Amino acid sequence: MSISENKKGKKEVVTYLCITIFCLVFFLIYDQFSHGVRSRYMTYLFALPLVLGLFPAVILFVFQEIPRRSQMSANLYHSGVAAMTVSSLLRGIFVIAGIGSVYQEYLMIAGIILLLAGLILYMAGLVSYMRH
Amino acid sequence: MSVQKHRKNLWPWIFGILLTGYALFTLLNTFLIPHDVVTWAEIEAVEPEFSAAEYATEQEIEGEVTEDSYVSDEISIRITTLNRYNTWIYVADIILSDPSYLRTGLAQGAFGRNLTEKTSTIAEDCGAILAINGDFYGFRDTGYVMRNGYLYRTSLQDSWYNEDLVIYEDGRMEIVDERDSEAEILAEAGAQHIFSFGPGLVKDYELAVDEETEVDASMTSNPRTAIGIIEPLHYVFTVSDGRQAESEGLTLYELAEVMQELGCQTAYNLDGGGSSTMWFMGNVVNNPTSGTTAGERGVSDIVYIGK
Repeated sequence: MSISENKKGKKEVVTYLCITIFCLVFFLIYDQFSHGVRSRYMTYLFALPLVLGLFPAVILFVFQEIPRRSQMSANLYHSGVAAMTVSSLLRGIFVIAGIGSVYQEYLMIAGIILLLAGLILYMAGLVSYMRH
Repeated sequence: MSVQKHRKNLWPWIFGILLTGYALFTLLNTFLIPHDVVTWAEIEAVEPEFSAAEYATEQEIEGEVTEDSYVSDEISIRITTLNRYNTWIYVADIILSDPSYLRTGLAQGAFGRNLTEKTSTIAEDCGAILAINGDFYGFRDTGYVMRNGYLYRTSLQDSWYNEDLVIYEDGRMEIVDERDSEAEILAEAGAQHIFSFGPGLVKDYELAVDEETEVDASMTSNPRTAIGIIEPLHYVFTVSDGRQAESEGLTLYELAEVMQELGCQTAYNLDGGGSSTMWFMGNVVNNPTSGTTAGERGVSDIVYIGK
């Protein structure tokens, strides 16, 4: 791994760690003002950046022999995680308020598509790398 | 080299702006922007209906009125206050000579998402004698909505219990599962009002909820609003305070117990929390609060008694 890639990997780990902590703190503060009304989308909001963002970032950072993601693959994947996290946050707010909205569902679908596109692109790159 | 680095950074920036914009739009669209508005004028073009506000101005409310009661030849209302579970509960016992005196009113006189007015404002506009908040249909996209005989929404509600309260033209109340009852069939059967909040609290004099039942994830005591029927044309409107030091609030199970104790054959939970309001002859009876701010909040609709 080059120095720049190492720096990039570290930055990714720190960024996802910050987002995970932010989601957890956001839930704890929101919970103080929601009169005991809870939504699992808000309670476990932190799990999305933790599982989909921080864990893969740490794995890629620690196991440096694993092939890197292409820029496009990383862009799509990170965008997918971001869209899914924001969608979950919105759904949490709406459930607590007793409201429904289809727009947050569209965002979740878009997030899943982006994430899968990023993964497929990465897998394609991985297959190509292994052939060579 | 610097140009290449700049290009690499464009995606997160553009996507970040788009995502933020979309999230803001979703929040504004859900909480603030009125839409899907159906006015009485449009309804009248489809099916002639009376306007509650117009009707009220044509009628003069007559009868014996005290601070907590109203009695006329057609309508008898008596409001009592109970204290249960460290909570003040306001109970309006209503006897009507005709089921048409039990009505519903809409904020700003129209059906639509994010259209809200205080219960007292809608009640005054409708010329009501007594009113409570309704099911706040305008905060959701789904669930049957029928008011004063007009079917506004027929989409299935997104809730695990799917229970609606149907009030028929003869004054009967019935709790139905939306998955088993099409809105149009209920309308054909004589439904006048359909509320999609719930769940049902009492069915055939038996408790219909257990201690674990809650609306979505609300696991604590809250202000509550419920409507019930004791016998034909004998109704109960119940509103409890909550989220206050002197009034803790009720769980759904406690509310159901209160409605059963009042002798309800059928009782149904309406929108609670900051919406819970009872209004009688120009005054708010209970102490509405969101928990952080005191006073009434805007709601989509009310249930009221009026001529």
